[in-house]
Amino acid sequence: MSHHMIELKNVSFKYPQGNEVIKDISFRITHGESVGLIGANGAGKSTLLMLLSGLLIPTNGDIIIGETKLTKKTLKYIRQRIGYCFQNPDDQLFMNTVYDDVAFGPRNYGIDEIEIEKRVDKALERVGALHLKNKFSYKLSGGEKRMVSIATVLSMEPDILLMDEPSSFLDPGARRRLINILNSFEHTKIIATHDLDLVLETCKRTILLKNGKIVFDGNTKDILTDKKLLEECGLELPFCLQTIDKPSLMFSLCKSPVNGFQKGISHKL
Amino acid sequence: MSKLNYSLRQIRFLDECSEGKSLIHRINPIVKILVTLIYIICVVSLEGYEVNRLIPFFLYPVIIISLSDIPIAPLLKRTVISLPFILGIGFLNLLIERNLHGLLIFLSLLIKSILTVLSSLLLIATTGMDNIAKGLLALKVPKIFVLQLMMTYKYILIFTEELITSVNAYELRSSEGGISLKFAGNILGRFFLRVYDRAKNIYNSMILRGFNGEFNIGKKISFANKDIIFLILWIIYFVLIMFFDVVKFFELILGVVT
Repeated sequence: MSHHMIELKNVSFKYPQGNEVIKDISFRITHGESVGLIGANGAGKSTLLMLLSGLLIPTNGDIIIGETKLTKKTLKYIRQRIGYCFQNPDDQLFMNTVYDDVAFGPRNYGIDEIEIEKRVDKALERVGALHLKNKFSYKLSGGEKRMVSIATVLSMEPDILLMDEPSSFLDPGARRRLINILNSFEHTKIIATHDLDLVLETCKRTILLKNGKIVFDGNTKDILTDKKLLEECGLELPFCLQTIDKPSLMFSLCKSPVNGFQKGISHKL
Repeated sequence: MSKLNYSLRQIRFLDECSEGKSLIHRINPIVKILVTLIYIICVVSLEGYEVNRLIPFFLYPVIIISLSDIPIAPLLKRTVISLPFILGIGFLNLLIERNLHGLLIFLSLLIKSILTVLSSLLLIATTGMDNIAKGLLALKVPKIFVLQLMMTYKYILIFTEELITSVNAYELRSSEGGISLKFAGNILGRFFLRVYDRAKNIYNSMILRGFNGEFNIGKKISFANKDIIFLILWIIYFVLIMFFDVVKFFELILGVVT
């Protein structure tokens, strides 16, 4: 059995006294897949992530994480398996020090303090923030906060990572470090973002949402080079493809979405 | 920097102080809570007009401040913030009792409030809220109260951040200094909505990391010899100054000597 698998079967969600924001969505994400979730504002990306983490319960359909169906009874177990990074890292950093913030999750699961210290060190090291361990969380820069917020999730050793706009609040340097870190993770990942260049570099598969429905689910290359479809859904080509006449041709120059694009662009220049 | 921004920088002062490594910082939080509690009880239980007997109680904050390397000026500034309320009550009493007795009660009230507020601030500045919570739990204070205390303290900081964002946004588009009464309602309304959203997000991030109403705060508290000595010495001192008029005693000695 794989804890890393996510399956949605005809999932719909409606806010009380509101419109249906997620409409009959079905997909399956397998072990280790990295999936970009894109769409215009209000397309339903954040709601979908909240449904996957059990913060919201679908009005219809089933969500299966690993082999476990998401219900109120299984929430505790499923949340242990899922790491959710909020759009605003400040929402995840509410303790005094970085150490206490990263240790917050494992402490709630009754892990002993020696093991917690190991986990904190490991998680911070993974995101290159071990030197921040004893710093005050509120004194960190935007980039540092983002890295620490990812560490707060990694310390729980989840199987699946859900990330809501991970590149927001980041300068280009911090964003590049984030991309490298995301590419080094072996977790199953869903990255909801407007940063299509980030999707290009971190996700082989992309799901495009429009008005709560899946418009496209497939290879990142196919969707992110389809200017017409992207524009129909309130998006545009990734910046690195905007000056190129034939984006799909450009993509084919690349061996992998991660390194290939850098090579391709430098070739073009 | 606007006054509010400055206040926010200052609001973390106690948290920052609590990360010190002095002897007082290293004392067991349970012991510090107990000593502070006994101190406050002793101070408030003296008679209203016994101003001279309050003087020996100044030794406690003086020693704690000098041993913990906490800057005194910001601490006193915070103590003074609480004074207007006490002064108000004291003045009301002066209106009723317009004699020496009324004045003594007023002075006693003033000193007592300074001492109790200062000792509480010193407890937070040398222990930190997380350790205080840990100590309270160890002292069998019901979890619900400790959780409320922790949450209130943490949310005050978050609310202040949100308030600054709202006020800054207003001030950047306003030619007048301060907030006009005309817009105060709108700003307050928006502020509460923002704070509600923020609180919801933080709560969500807590429950997603396994929070179930129990605040688990780090390593267990251990006792060392220095903790016991600290506790015993202060209890002896408090008992001494509670039951013996030390000031009068020194006056007598000085009288005999001279």
